[in-house]
Amino acid sequence: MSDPSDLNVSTDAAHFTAERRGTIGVVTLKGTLDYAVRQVLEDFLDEAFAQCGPELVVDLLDLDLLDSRSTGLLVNCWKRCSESGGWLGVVAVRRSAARVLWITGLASRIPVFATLDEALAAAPAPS
Amino acid sequence: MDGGERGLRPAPVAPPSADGRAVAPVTGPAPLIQAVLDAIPAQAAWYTPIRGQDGMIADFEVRAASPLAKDVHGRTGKELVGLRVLPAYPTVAGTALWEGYLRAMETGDPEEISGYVHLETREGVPHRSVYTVTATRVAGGLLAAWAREDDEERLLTRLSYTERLGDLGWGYWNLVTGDAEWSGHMYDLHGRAPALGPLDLEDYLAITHVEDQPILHHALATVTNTEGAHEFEIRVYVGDVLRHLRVVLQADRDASGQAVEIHGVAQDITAWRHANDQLALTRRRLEEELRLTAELQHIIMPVQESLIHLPGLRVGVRYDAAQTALLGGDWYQAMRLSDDRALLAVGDVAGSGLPAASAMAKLRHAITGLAFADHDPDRILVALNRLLRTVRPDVLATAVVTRYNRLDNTLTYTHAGHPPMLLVRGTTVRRVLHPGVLLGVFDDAAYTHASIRLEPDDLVVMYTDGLIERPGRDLYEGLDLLAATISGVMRAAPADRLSAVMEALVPSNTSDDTCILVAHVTPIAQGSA
Repeated sequence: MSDPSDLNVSTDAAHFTAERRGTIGVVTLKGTLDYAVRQVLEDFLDEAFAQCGPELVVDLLDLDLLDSRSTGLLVNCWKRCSESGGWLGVVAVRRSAARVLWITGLASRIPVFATLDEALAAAPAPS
Repeated sequence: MDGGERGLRPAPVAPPSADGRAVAPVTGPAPLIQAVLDAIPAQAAWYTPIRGQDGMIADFEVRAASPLAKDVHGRTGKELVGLRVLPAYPTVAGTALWEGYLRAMETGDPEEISGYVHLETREGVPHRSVYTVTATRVAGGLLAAWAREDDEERLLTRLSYTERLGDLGWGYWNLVTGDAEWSGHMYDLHGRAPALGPLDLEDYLAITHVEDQPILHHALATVTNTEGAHEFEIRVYVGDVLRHLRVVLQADRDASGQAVEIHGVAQDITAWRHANDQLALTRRRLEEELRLTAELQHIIMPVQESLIHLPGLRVGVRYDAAQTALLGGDWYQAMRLSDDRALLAVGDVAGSGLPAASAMAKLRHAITGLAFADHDPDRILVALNRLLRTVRPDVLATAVVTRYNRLDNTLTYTHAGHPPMLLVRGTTVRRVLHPGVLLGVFDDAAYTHASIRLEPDDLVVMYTDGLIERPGRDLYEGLDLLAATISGVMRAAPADRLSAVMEALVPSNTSDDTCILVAHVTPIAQGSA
């Protein structure tokens, strides 16, 4: 399913990957997203959008922590997808990520799914 | 000193070993001559000739050497004994020295070979050295004595390197005779032709920057009147250019203690001084910028040190700038709307620096106007969101906006992507949240509000995430810790609950700015309800 353009970035506390599944880009963010990885995450999301966007599923299932700055980066990613006529769905059930999505009101605006398969199934069909 | 090879190679009898050393029988005059050389404070050695089958001298072997004798390779004294001249110093063959040796052996007349230039090809040995050698036939062998001529030359070379590499000049002034002497680089430092001779102290004052002349006067008085060296820095004119010199002076005295000569070393530190001045200038500019930034922050959002008195409330506020950026995007607003109503709000614009600060200023001004228009918090947030989407679509922001009415003790509130407030009642602390979406993301963001009834002595804590967020820690973990801290403070039953809480609130993240607002419901509010 993956191709040579797959992205794979690791830091001490976090691990990011992006790969294409058909027309959808699957971005997986694992570990701790806090101040320490902010710049790495920003660069990674830029690259992921460039390679896989603008239809993305962001998988936060293995996320331990999502801070306010990282949330801002996710929101920017969503903005970019929308502005490009794309779509962004989030997979999250863990307390930390889900709670942040709730506090920031994003859960009411950005589709949130319990599993990656559900998210992929809900993504708009390729035109 | 250095090597005095050329001089010494006498003649042995035994077959030489591969390295030119021979195993010679300890017989003949050698022990006696060695005893004599041992007593002589000079570089000397006694050689015996080695003759070929034709009876001609083919080489010399060292049989005795004075303790001070030293060759170009650094071998000294008895280390030389056993060496043969030609294997040990091949370049000697055919030179004036060699010819002199042969002549002395042949005629018996003493030979003096002056200015013998020894060329050494071996690595690690000075290529060229100059010697004066005397050679005399003694007891069938050759007594050679030598001195190196280039020692002084080498010393001068060393000094010249030191002066040039260290940008150092040396000078001396005789206070009695008026004589003065400068080293070569001293002239260079002062852009002065050596042919002109050194400057006397009076003329030296004339090229010294007028502001530094007292320094020089003081220095001269100090070294003539006190023991030891005196160090100072002056600027002197070299043509039109000012040069910064670091100078060390010391006086030599006569028997009566009177200063007779002044010796000085000067170093050109112009480049160093300029770099230093540049650094100091940059530092001053940075400090100035920091000061202006702090002022700007204060103009955009004045933070009142003392408590703010609003209808039914006492309010304390605090703003802690990030260590890394004095201009931040966090803000608060606490204002009286009417005799009975007050607005309380805290917000956070993502980012730092001027872009964040200017967006923050816009939001803060807008909220003030909207509140006076008597809008509810949810309507205020709808308008703020529209403002950001229109004016600053690049900006993300969060806020909690509340309105308090003392008549019914009701706090109406709405969050826009902002963390919960804390309500402190007695010693219990609970979260209060009516979530709405972040500001600046969705064009059509809509908000609703909730209300809560406050009781006298309740505290409401609003903050930005710098208060509870820390790398590796979940927002709610930080919030729980904060709640526990406040609860602990309240259990101590402080006389002033508001001040006690304010003191207990310490930003957890110094890389982010933090804004804190704590409102205390005064009993008077209760009474007037």
